[in-house]
Amino acid sequence: MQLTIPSILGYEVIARDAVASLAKRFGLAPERIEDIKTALCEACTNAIEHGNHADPQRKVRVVCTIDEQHLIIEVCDEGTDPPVLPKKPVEWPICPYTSFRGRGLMLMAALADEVTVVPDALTGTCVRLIFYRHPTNVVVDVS
Amino acid sequence: MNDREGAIEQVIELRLPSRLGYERIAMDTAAALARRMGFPAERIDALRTAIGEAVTNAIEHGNQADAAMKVVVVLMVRPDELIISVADQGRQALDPARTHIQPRITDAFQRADKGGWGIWLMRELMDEVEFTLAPGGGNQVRMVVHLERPST
Amino acid sequence: MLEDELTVNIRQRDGVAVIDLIGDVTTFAEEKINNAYRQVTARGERFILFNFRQNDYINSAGIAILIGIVTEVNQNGQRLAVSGLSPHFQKIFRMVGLAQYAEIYQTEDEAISAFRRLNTLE
Repeated sequence: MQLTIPSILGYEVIARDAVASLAKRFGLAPERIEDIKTALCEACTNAIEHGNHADPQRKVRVVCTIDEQHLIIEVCDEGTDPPVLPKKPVEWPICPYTSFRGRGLMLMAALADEVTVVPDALTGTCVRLIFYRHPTNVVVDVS
Repeated sequence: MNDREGAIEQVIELRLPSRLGYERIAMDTAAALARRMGFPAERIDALRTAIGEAVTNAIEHGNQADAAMKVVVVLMVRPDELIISVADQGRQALDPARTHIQPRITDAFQRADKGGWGIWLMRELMDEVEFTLAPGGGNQVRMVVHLERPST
Repeated sequence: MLEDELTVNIRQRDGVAVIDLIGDVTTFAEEKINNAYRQVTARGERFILFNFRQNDYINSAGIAILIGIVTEVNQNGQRLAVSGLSPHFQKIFRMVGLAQYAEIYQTEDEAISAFRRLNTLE
């Protein structure tokens, strides 16, 4: 399934509801769906604001693939400035001066089981989020 | 989602595999959008049902439930209306006569096939409904819901 | 892998066969709804209540299934009522003409009371 939204803040909510609907239809657990919604919002907001510089003419593309094992979500923008993703397990710094954007990316990385940056087929950047149906050892270091 | 932000119209596109069940995602997406646009609950429900019928038709009839084929839903946000178009890839052309059926329950009691309500429901629930050909070949239905704003 | 959309329960309450329809009513619901109806009819039930729960989706295929049930209810001299529908789907039922053949009640309790009054009259 593929969804394309304009790069206008507010539309990430529509993408969130679309993906949540898919996840619910495919029987993912409610808590997982909440994780997916939050991570997706962060990814879309990032794509809108930073990838596409909030240019309403540019698009954010969300592509979902779902099977027995996982839900794979790719959030693609038209920008050439890929985000720097924290490694898992995510270490939440005590320092309060982490950028707002930085926290968003950390949240996304913490909630998804796998997060990678992949180049887009066209010019652009995709963040790929993978959510396992049945997470085994999800380690989140919240120190 | 206000007029200040660039375009007069803002477009969301959804591409779905042709499997029954996926119409729910189109319904939920359109409902989320309609909610954000400020449509009243009754219009949102009407829109959900109409788009459900349109996408189901596209899946079952237009694309003959071939999961590899896509249903393309385009939602166009304008200040005073939401325009929805649903296109299939046209395995089976829609007979124009079918788009003007007025089914009656008393007739249905007499027939084995109790169906044929989908398109009629779309026409009853939406402000405008138009059947055309999709750009790439295939059936396309265009529906419009008007956003009534209280006069200031 | 798409979730099974409808669960059906059959109960007895005050001489009424209550059939709970929990979830979506679409083409996939056909066998379950028809089986439930046939089951209660086989044991001679006259009063039947379709009690909708957790429902926010009834499509035209679902409508066709319910019209099929109503066809048989009319033939068998039974009485059918529905409860638990959202205002939107109550409206759809009226538009389609189902409301003339299946009385619409807001809640199960209201439907049962109405059936009870009917029973004492008939």
